[in-house]
Amino acid sequence: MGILQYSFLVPLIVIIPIIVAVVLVFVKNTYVSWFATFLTTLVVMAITSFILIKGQFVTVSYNFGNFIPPFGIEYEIDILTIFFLFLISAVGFLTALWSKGNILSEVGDKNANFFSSIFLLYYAGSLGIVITNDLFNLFVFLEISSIASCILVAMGRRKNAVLAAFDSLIIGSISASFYLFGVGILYLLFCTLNANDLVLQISKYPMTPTLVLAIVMLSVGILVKFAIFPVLWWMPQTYQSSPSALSAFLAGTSVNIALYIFIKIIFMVVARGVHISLDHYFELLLIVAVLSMFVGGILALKQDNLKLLLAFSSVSQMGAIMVGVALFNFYGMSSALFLAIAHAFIKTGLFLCVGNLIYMFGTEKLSELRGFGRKAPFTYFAIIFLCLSLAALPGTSLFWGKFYLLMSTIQSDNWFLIVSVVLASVLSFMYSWKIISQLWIAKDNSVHLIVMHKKTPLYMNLAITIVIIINIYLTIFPNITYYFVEQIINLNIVSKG
Amino acid sequence: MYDTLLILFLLLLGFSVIALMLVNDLFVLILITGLISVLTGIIYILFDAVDVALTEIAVGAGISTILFLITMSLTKAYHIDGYNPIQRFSRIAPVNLINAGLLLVVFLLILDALSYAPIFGNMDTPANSSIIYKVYTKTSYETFDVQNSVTMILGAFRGYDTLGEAIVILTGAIGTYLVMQIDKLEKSEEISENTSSKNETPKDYVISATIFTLMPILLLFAFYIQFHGDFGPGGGFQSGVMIAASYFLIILYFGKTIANKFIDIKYLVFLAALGVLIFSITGLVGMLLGGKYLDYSVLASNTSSGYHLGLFSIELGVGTTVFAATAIIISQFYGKLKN
Repeated sequence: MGILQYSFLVPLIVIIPIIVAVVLVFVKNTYVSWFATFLTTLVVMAITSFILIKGQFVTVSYNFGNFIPPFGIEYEIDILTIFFLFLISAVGFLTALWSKGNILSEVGDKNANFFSSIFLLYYAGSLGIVITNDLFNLFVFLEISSIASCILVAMGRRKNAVLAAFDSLIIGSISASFYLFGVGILYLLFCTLNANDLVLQISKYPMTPTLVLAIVMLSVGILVKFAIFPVLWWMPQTYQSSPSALSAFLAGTSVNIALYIFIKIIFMVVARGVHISLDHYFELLLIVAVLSMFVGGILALKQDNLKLLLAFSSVSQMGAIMVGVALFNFYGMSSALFLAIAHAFIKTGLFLCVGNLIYMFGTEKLSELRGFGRKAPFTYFAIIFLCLSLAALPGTSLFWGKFYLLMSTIQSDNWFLIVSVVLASVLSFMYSWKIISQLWIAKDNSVHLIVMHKKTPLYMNLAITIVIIINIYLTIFPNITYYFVEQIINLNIVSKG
Repeated sequence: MYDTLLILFLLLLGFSVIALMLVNDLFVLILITGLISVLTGIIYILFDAVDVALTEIAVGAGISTILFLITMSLTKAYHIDGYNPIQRFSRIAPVNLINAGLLLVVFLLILDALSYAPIFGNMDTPANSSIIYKVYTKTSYETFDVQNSVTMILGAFRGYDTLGEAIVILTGAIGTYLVMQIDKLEKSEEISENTSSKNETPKDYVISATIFTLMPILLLFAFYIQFHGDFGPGGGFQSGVMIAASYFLIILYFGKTIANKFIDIKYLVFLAALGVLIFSITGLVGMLLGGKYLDYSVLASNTSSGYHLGLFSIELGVGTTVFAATAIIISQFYGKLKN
């Protein structure tokens, strides 16, 4: 029993941010709008953690308008969903807590209420993508989140921000069109949009080229959103030109959202329904994932701009996550999920630290920031800690993810994969070391730095501290998450390898 | 008769698409795009899809044509210089040929894959025979007493998607407003100098005659389909676009400064937000009265009037948002044109 009587909380996870966002359009006061954002994200995080703790692996569903699922829109929270919901709401809470000073310094006082409002819409969109069990509703929220993120990028008033926003708008539209085409074909074949119903219908249906076309279209749409190898250029550009609060939120959530959509559509709908084996599909995916791991890593090494470096590193880590997914076995899947959480918190933390640097010194270039340590000791040590985690040194949270990934490649008995995962880890160590060496070991260049703010406010440091505590927790108790991940895999994904 | 008409309009559509490729003048090109939308709309009417036809004509022939024309004037690109389709084809680089070949292969593959799909328009296809289709068409009239099943699907069965789309429109409008603001901050000094001299706008007789005969009919029709969406074709979206078109006529006639005094752009942003607020609060009221989110049956004493009340309220929300958002986008772009 227990959780089912609280099922009215399920739609509120998305509805509360939407209503607050709309009301904030009328509010002109910066502090009020920031505080409302903070409070909303706190409430949403409280709801998700309540469902996470109280609803022990029970599936909760909610029918909009009181129509039974295939006829109306359904929200369904199972263990995989609540896992991602909690992740996104936590990252949103941390960035909202941190964002106050950032809004004032990078967006400006005048449009601050619009920034909060659209930030909340993006937050609601991201949550809506994950929580929904309806393929078309997913598309609608995908649209909300992609348009909202474009606007937030343009609001950063950086050089080329409008152009980057335009690029990401175009890429978002392309990805959404492919996805919509796939959903359209599925509707043509089965006349249903509900994921559970679709699994039933697909399993009754023989495999035809039309269904293959639908799968291809859906995968292309999702992989473009994933910024996987051939179409990865738009993502670093977006991260670099957006305000730091948004960069941190994007870095923490967009990988996870894409991963979730991929697992949901490909594993939980398509792979569960179709009668043929998908081995060739996953082989193709492995090649793309390995390429994107290397391209991201090598390009990250060449960057001087800290935000760009971190963004290309995200591309590389996404490749690693994708390798885990495409291996399609137990260890691969669990390593992918563990990497996704660990990477989300590390990247959010690092982008928040870069935001701190921009707040204090107004620059994010490594060459200008050499030896800033004495002026900002807190940020300095936070960056070192997080970079060591990003390098996946033994004794950090990402290490466990990489370790499981290596285990799964060994299990799959593919030498090419083992070598490429090891090489990619070396690459990730190299670019993390580049950050540490430039900021720590290199000669002090900080005379040229213009100090805009002498120190960062308490709430900014508090957000970063929380991120670091979460990382330490993940390092010490990977077993708890691992157990959790195990539950997810047992519940949802058929193949255990 | 029906088939003859359908073939006639399909042929006209084909000719306009060919004409589109051969035309050199951008103004004519934009008008042909509008024509294509009108023809598509008529074909939709022949298919008995009046709601879709209304949307297609209002957005495709109305708003997007206006936006294209404004963009053309902004970029000052009226012609494609030296554009000769045949000559252009002979000058194509080998790389483009490879791309074209790849595209052709992909296109043929898609065509082949789609040939295994159920035959389009057949009565036995899942889209025409599945239980979802039957429930949608039957219950909307028999159980819920809503005459227009399209409005019932958009507003109730999939009402939450419509809320999402209203939010998309609101986000787009705020985005346009903000991006234009960024540009304005840089040029604010220039604008303040210019505005005083721009008050006088030439009043063209053709425009004024068109506006004063067209606008009352347009507004009347818009408000009719706004409040009548659950009984007949149309609804908030189409009506919002039409009201926005008449707002554009006001701008066109009186000039932007007077139109701004009429409704300030800031209030248009508030109005767009208000629409989404009405929609989402309607859903919340259903929840507070003991139903699910967006459950209209609890809004009144019996199911039927509850549904009519709920659909009325959300159509009002959608109409407000669409009107305000379209008006914001048009007036922002038109404002750039004046400066």
